[in-house]
Amino acid sequence: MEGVNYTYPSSEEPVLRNIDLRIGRGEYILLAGPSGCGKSTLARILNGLIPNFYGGKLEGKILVDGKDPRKTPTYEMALTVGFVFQNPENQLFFSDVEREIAFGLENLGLPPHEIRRKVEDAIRKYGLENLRHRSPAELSGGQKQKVAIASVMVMEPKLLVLDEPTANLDPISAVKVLGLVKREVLERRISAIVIEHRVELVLPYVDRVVVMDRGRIVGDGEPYSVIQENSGLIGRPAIFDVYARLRAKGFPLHRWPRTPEQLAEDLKRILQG
Amino acid sequence: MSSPLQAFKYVPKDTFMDRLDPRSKFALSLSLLAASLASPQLTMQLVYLALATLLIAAAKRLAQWTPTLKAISPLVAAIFAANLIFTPGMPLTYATLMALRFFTVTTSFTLFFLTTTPDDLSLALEEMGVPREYTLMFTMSLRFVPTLADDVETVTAALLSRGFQLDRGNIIQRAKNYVYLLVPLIIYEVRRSLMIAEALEARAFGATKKPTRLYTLKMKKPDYLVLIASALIAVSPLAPAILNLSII
Ligand SMILES: Nc1ncnc2c1ncn2[C@@H]1O[C@H](COP(=O)(O)OP(=O)(O)OP(=O)(O)O)[C@@H](O)[C@H]1O
Ligand SMILES: [Mg+2]
Repeated sequence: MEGVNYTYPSSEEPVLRNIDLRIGRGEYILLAGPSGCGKSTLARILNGLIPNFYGGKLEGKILVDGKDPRKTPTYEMALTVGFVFQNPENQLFFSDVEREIAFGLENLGLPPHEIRRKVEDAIRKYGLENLRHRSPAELSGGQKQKVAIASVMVMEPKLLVLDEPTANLDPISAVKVLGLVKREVLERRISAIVIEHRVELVLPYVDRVVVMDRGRIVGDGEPYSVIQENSGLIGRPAIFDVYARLRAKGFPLHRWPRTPEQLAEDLKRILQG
Repeated sequence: MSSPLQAFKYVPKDTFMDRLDPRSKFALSLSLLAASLASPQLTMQLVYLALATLLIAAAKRLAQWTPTLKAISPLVAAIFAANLIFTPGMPLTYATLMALRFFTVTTSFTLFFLTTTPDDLSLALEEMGVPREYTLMFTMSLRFVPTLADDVETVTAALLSRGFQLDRGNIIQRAKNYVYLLVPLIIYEVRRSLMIAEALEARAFGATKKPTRLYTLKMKKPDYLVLIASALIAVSPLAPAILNLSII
């Protein structure tokens, strides 16, 4: 994206202003920022829901894997960009997990035996064997989101966008879901961009943080420094403060901590000489 | 879900009826229904009702069917009473016939829905040429019943927590109360449906004119037997006349 501006049809003011963003292959990016800053809007551009579904005025240069969402129908963008929404309830359309996962492939008109093979792969990979014929009402929040991710990943997108995928989950399920994404990034070298308010949950996995404020990108780069510089907007994990104080006291810690466990480990190593 | 609607909720079981192709099951239910509507004899109505009940029993769904039976009983009683009062001639026979017929029709209808997954049903419809958009509408409307029930609860709870009383006042006041419940609920569901539409787009819905299916339907030997049986049931109302039986 280069110099992207966007205005919703129902408003006067642009919600995105002069956005420059380049996403590389195999990157796992956290997109953070205060409520209403335009994160979801940015995400919707990536898979073409904006402008195809929402309309509005979209300006600037945009290429997603060579496709311009203004000239490409959403269903074609869906081949490149997988989208996981905040509420899994609204993205599960069937009373059967198997059919749910098959749906995207059915829409593409794949032959049944190929759908079967891919669905089986996905079921195995996401550990859904025992949930195969459950309806969403019989699944926990974490399981639902797992099914949602599996049904998107089965279409083999190159970019996975997750808009607050863990907002309805407890921290442990949330970390598990984010870990599943990490595995896809490592195994298939896809790119992932996750919108999340709880920075510390994503921190173990991401290698880049993008911060937005009032429609602009105000920070972009390596997690530790970007979070430090923008902690007023997105908060800062407590572990960063502990780390800073230890360093100030002269502990030779060479890497910033992604998790409390990691810091404890590093500290132990130093103390044991 | 409330108990009368139990009839339309598929509970997976592995019986002869469940394994049938939805199309042959549909033919079976339809033939029972048609035969019951066509036959003027009490005895035949009893035969059809017994047959439908037997099939429900074979499908191990009797326990699910009884709530429906209870729910429609007052209606059947009303039908019986109305016919008894308003029919000239032999009102008792006719009223009994109508009441039995109503039981048979609902039972054969229930038989189909108790043993067919919504997904199988939509699959059958698609094979008959109904476009995916419509079958999806059907599948999804069933899928979202529990979600809608949750939403009603959420909105009610939100209203109650602000001092709203649903069951207060006279009939008119109560009807008004339900409007208070309905307005936010409709807004809520419109928003939900927009989010669902977005999610459908993101799963490449509409990408091809000819979407495929993970499962395809295939008629097997039992299905053909059931089809033959259905044809026989469909013509059975003629049997008493042909065989020259004098039954009521
Ligand atoms: N469909 C819409 N029509 C008009 N304005 C919208 C629409 N959706 C969002 N907006 C506005 O655009 C701005 C950005 O919204 P967006 O949903 O992108 O924010 P966000 O960063 O995702 O916030 P949150 O963290 O709360 O999800 C907000 O001011 C919002 O009110
Ligand atoms: Mg958002």
